[in-house]
This record gives sequence, structure tokens and C-alpha cells, in this order.
Amino acid sequence: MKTTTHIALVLLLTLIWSAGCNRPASEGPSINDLFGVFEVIDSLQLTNVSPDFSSGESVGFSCKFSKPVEWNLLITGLESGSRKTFEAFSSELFAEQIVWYGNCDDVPFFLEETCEVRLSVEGEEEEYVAALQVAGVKTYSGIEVATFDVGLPDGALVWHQDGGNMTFELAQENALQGNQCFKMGGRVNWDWSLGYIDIPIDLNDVNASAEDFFLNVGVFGGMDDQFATDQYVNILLSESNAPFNDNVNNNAADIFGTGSEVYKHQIRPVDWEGWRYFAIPYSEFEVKSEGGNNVREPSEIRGIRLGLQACPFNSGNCPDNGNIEAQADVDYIMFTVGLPLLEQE
Amino acid sequence: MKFPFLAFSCLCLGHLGWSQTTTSGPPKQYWLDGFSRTWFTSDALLGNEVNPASISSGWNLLDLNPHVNPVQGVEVFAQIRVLNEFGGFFGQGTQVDVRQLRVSGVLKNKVKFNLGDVYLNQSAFTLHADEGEASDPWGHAFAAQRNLVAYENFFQGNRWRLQGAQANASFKGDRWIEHVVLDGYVTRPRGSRQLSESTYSPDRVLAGLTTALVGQKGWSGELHHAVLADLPYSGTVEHNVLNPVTHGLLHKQPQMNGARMRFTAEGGWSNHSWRIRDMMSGEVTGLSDSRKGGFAGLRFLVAAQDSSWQGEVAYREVDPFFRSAGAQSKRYDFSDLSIPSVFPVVGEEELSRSVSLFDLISDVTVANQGVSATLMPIAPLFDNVLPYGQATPNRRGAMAHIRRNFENAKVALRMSRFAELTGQGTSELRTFSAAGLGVEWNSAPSASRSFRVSAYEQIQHTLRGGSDLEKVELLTSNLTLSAALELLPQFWIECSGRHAIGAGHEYLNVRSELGELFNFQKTELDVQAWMTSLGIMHSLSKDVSARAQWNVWGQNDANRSSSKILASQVFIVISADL
Repeated sequence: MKTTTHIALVLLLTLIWSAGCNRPASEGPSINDLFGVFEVIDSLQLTNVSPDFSSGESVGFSCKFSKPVEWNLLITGLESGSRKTFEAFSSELFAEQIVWYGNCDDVPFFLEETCEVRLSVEGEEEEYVAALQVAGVKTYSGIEVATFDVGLPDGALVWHQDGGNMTFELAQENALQGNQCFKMGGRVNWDWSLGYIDIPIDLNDVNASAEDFFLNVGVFGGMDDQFATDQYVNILLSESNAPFNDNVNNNAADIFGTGSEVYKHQIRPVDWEGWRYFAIPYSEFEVKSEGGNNVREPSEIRGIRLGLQACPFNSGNCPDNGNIEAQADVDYIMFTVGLPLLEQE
Repeated sequence: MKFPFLAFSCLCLGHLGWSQTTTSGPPKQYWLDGFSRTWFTSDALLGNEVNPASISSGWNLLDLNPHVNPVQGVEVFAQIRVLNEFGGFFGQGTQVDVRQLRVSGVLKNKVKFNLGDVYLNQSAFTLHADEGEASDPWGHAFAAQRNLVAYENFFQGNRWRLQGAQANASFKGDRWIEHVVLDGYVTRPRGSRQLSESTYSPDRVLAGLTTALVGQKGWSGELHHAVLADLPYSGTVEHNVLNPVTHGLLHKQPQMNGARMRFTAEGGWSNHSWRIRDMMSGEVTGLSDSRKGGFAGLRFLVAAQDSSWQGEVAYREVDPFFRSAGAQSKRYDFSDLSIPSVFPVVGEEELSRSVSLFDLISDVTVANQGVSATLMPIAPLFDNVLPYGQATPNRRGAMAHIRRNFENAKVALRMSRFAELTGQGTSELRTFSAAGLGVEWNSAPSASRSFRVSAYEQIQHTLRGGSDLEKVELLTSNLTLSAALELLPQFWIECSGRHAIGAGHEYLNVRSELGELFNFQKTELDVQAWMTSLGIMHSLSKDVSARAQWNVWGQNDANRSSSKILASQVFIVISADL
């Protein structure tokens, strides 16, 4: 048995020895780097200080720190107030990776204007500032549904209740993009629905899944911090093959009726001042009414309805709505494939 | 999902029962047992005028266990739970659930099998549930709370509760091998789940095989192999874990008068990697982040023939990248996602409270029932030396354990010293020293009144040199006390206490979802946490007991005034084995 014991011990020692062969000296990032003194080794650099985004130019940002940090790079349009941010945890910004294509985090869009670039590091007081001049604004691509610049889209139908101060019409003031937007507002004390606009759509050429197909829409919430209680934008997408406006006695398009294949999403509540821009993947629309094959297929979308709804005063649930008009204007309605509009490079 | 499942289970059971009546064979056997518990707590913050919160909760539950023998040698077991939470109207808040379902039996008098909910413990390096931070070596302190947490989370010894199939068989041999045992299991710790409309997590499978050989002249051996694997084609995510682990042991039990001895040599290895699934084509394209790790150790165990004393010494080395999901998963979740049930936010700023000693002992939701594919966060205040049990990676060292049993008392001494094999964030290595001393004193069998007193103190010290930033020094103490006195027949007054102190600083590992160490969280500890309990226990019969306790608990972290908390709890529990 002594031989067996020796064999076992040799095997054990071999195991220990072989396990130790591959051990690195340390695991994880250096503590001295992580918690050491912070220094900027290479200052903030821009690859282009006057980019013309309309011609496809971009700006790369580079900077090098002495240790990995949580950094934040903020670009602010000094005229528009538009903002674009980048943030990460790293010790270096590489110009090939941190690239700005002229897009923004949210509306308003950047103009041809001077922008401030501000790099800040968590836990450090000092910030690093640079400037650039936008020589040409970014042109977004997508499938246009409505920009309202030359009027309502062809075939669009508008319906609203006979309430007070109903404004379901084109308006020139406060447009998000271009010179006009579509106003939706008014007061209806007896019903949630105030009105809507129905727009026919032809997406036969689209080849994208519901997850990769985004509806992008700008929504104006109001001004002076006055909002009707529980006001929201109700969005319907219909895949019904019924004629868009077969029965003129209906309240707008027929394809959103019960029994049609309709999907719904709500931007709720609308309780902000000014414009905000939303990108909603078609896959996040819920079934409003069943019909057809009940599979979300972008190429089958035949129409969109954007409606304004708000809690009715007569319900007793929102007494403040007796003295305030609901409002949610919409503009720059686009479909995009692959990415939300504001994330386009 | 619960009701269809219940209906299906009842249908199956009914069918088995019905088929029993229509076939000839051995007499049909049905029987019922179960468990019932009424639990009530009322918690209040003390000395807090900002949040003068007082909350009550509780439930009645009945776990009814029908057992059916459809054929000889086969048993169908189900556990059907009816639970009614306090505070709701009758019928509302009542849950009916099939809590466990299992078929077990013996095939041809050779192969034992279990199918359904199975409890598995393979080896300390392949599949093993370490009792963890809440353990009391004597098992008495806060027994009511710990039993509650264990029962609700299916904690049974060192076994994990899993769903799948397990079978084992034993064979007699001749010549060199006297006995052979084969044991295998296939389980599914996690099923495929829908994460979003188009994203599904994959099925996760844990399978293992064990062979044990008993030879002649005191020689025996074990070989364990376990694999945790995601099935990439059952889901749509990019990273799918693959973690095979092998563990071999060789034992020698020499013959010796007056004592039992056993030498053990063990070793093994693991590989932890992620199978990458191409998100466009859906095909598995290869492996990433593959990490291999080994371990080896020697153990010597000696005990008196009459078990009056026992000693053990061991040396062990576990590689920094040894990964075993089945052995390193923790019983308690110390991640930021683990939110205490009682007073989850405290202070004027209503900051989230991290898991404290009280939650560890008594919060049902802090416990973890799942096998984690990556290393889980740890709590240095309670255990910084071997937070993942024997399988804790990156350790080299020795331990010694002595236990002495007297007529009415027991004494235990446990000491260990380990060091890292690879530095974390530095080439400097931590050293870990731990010492534990405990005593239990029971009344003599002839005493007119029974009593019991137990105490256990564990001290841990962690040290690392290097630059001012790299240095680590942490000292923790965990004292556990328990006492009980039988005032009247079957009527006990009992008390328990635990006090944890931590002083120093340590770096906690911050790991990515794939288990990669990418950051450290510097933690300054100047903390005390405690829980005390005073109450009565009355055994109404052999199977029915009732407890009422007054508990006071708190935590005081000098570095985080916002986390200071002092609270009390009225705790009432009535349990009955049916």
C-alpha cells in the first residue's frame, strides 16, 4: 500500500503544481489606478471643430486619464439648447469610439450654431471645456408619416368632439421641425377622447421585424406648467385591409374599428413643458383589437391614429379638468428601421 | 399558472388513484401528512420620529402532503399549500399552490429514483449548499426564525432543492472492490423565460454523476462530475454559460484501537466559459472568457470510537479561477437587488437599507434558492475568510477543528489560516486568520428542570500589505448566544442573541454579468449589528408547539449615520406537524 500512497501524493502535488502554473500575478484592475490620484494625461481633443453634419461629417473626442473614471461628455447648443451626452467608465476616450454625428438626446434639434463641449469626471471638481461650430445640421432619414410643413398628409382625416376651444388643426407657432405642427387640444367634460387625426400609410416596401421598426413622434406638452389631469396621446396602428375611409359617417377612418387588427400605445401622461421626442418599437404596441393574423408586421401597417385623451371632468375623478384645456401637439412623425431616429449616425 | 398546474396535478393523482382501483395488485395505499404554521410579526422602529413606522404581517398556511403508492415500490408525493395572508378579507389574499411534486421509488430492487422536486448534495466542490452566514454551530440560536427561513426556502442541510431526476444504485463487488455506488442527476435550475417580446433566456441544466468505490483494507474513493450549462438553442441571448467541474477523493481508514481515523486526498478542476450565440444567425459560434481552475487538498480526521472527541486538520488550495456554480452559490443574497422586507428604507432621506443581521436571520426573501452561474456578492461582516465555503476560490491554507463531548457539555474549537494565491487589484496577497470557540451546556438527564446554554464566538482577521491604497485590514467578531430553561413541563423560557462587530476596511469585488472582476468597492467598516430575542415556547403536544418572542435588533454604522436603525419585533409562531 505504500506504493499507492506515494502515487496518490504525487498526483496531488502534480495537481497543485499544474494549477499554479496558469495563475496571473493579479486579477482585476489595479487598485492604485482605480483609487489613486486623478490626472488628465492627454487633454480633451476634437477631431473636427466645424462639422457639417448635413454632408455626413462627424466629430470624434479623445482624452486620457490616469485611472478609470466615470466620465460624462455633454455637448450643448448655445442657441437651441439641444444636448447630446456620452458617458462611460474608462480611463480613455478614443476618437474612433466617442463619435458625434450631430444627433441629440432629445429635441430640440441642433441648429447651425456654436456648441459647448463639457467633459466632467465623477468626484472631480474640474471640468474640461471646448467649443465647436455646427456648419450644417444633421439630416435624419426615415419613412415620413407627417411633418405638417405643407399641410396635412394626403388622405388624412381629422375628427374631434364638440367641446370647448377645440383646436385640432395645423398651427404655425411652436413647431418642432419646419414651420408647422398639428395642434390637438380643447376641453370635453363628458368623454376621455377629445379627437384624433388618422393618416393612411403604405409600408409595402418595408422589410423589418416589429422589434426593429420604430415610430418616432414629437409631442408638445404645454406651457406654464399647466396640464390637464391624466392627458395623454393615444396611438393606434392598424393592419386592417379594410378601405381607409369607406364609410364617411364614421368618426374618421374605418380601419381602427372593432374587429380590425389594431395595436395601441399610449404616451401617458403628457405632463411636460415644450417638446419631447419619443421612439417606440412596434413590438411594444399592445393589441387593441384582434383581427387578421394578430402578428405585428410593419409592412402590413395601413394607417396611424394619433389622438388626444384626458380624464373627463364629469367623471368626478379629475375636478381640476373643469378649468383647464387638454393639450398635446404632435409633429415630425417618422418611421425608422433599425434604430430610433435620434440615435441615427 | 398555479391553478392549471394544480388541476393537472390533481388530475394525475386522481388518475393514479383511479387506476389503482381498476388493476389487481398489492393493496392500495394512500396517506396524508403535512405541516401547518401560523406566523405573525409586528415590527416597530424605536427612537425614530421621522419614520414612526409600525407594520404587522403574517399568514396562516397549511401544507398538505398526499402520498400515493400507485404500484409497489413507487410513491407519488405532492405538497399542496393553502396560504392566507393576514390583513385581507376572507378569500382575498388566499393562495393555493402545488409547492412540491415528486415521484420516487425503487426499480427492480436495484435502482432508486426521484423525479420532480429533488434535494441534492454531491460534494463540497461540485454541488453543495454551504449553510452560510446565518449558521449557529450549536443550532439553537433563533431556531424559530431560522427554521422558518429554511422551510420557506427549501433549505435542507447542505442540499439544493432542484427540479429534475435523480437515480442511484449500489453494487457489491469482489476482490479489490467491495462496494460500488453510482448516482446521477439531471436538473433544470432555470427554465427558459421570456425577457421581452423577442428575447428569451435559455434553459439552464445542471447534471452530475458520482461514483463511489469502497475497497479493501480501508481504501475508498469518490469521483464527482457536474456540469452547469445553458442550452443556447432554447433561448435567444448571446452568452450561455458552460461550467463543468470534476472532484476526486481518495480515502484511507487505517485500523486503530480506540479511535477512528481517515486520511483524505482530494483534487479537481473546473472550466467556466460562455458559449456565444450569434444574434443574427442564432448559431453557436464559439467560447469566450474561458477560465480554468484547479484545487487540491489533504485532510486528516480522527475521532474516538465512542465519539467523545473528534479532531480534524486539513490543507487546501483552490485556484483563483476555480468556478463551480453548484458549490459556490450562496444561501443568502447580499447584492444591491436584495431588499429587506422589513423597513426597506430608513432615515430622513429614506435611503435604501442594506441587508443586516436581522434580515439574514429572519427575512424569508433574503435567502437564495437558485444556483448562480457567477460568484455572488459577499458580506465581510459575517464571513470574509471562506464566503463560498470550502470551494471559495483563491485560497491556500490550513484549518484545524477539535470537538470534545463531555457528559453534559460540548466544547468546539476551530482555527484556520488562509492566504490568497493571486492578488486582487494588486500583486499583494491577503491573509485570512479565523478562530472560533464554542461551548454548549445541557442539564443532566436526572435534573428536575431542563436547561440549555450555548455560546459561540468567531473572530476573523483579514490583512493585506502594500501601498496605502492597497492595504486591507478588517477585524470582525460574531458572537452567538442561546439559552433555554424549562419553567414548567413542556413550557420553556428561551433567549437568543447575536452580535456582529466589524472594524477596518476592505475592497469588495464588483463583477460583470459574465463574472469578470472589473471594479472594486472600497468599504469602510465601523459597524455593529445585533439581534436579541426573549420569549416562551410551549409544546402543546409532540407535534404542536407555540412560540411568542420579543425581539430587538439594530445596526449602527459609524460611517453611514443614515443606516442606523433600532427596531423591535413581536414574533408569534404556532407550528404543527400533521
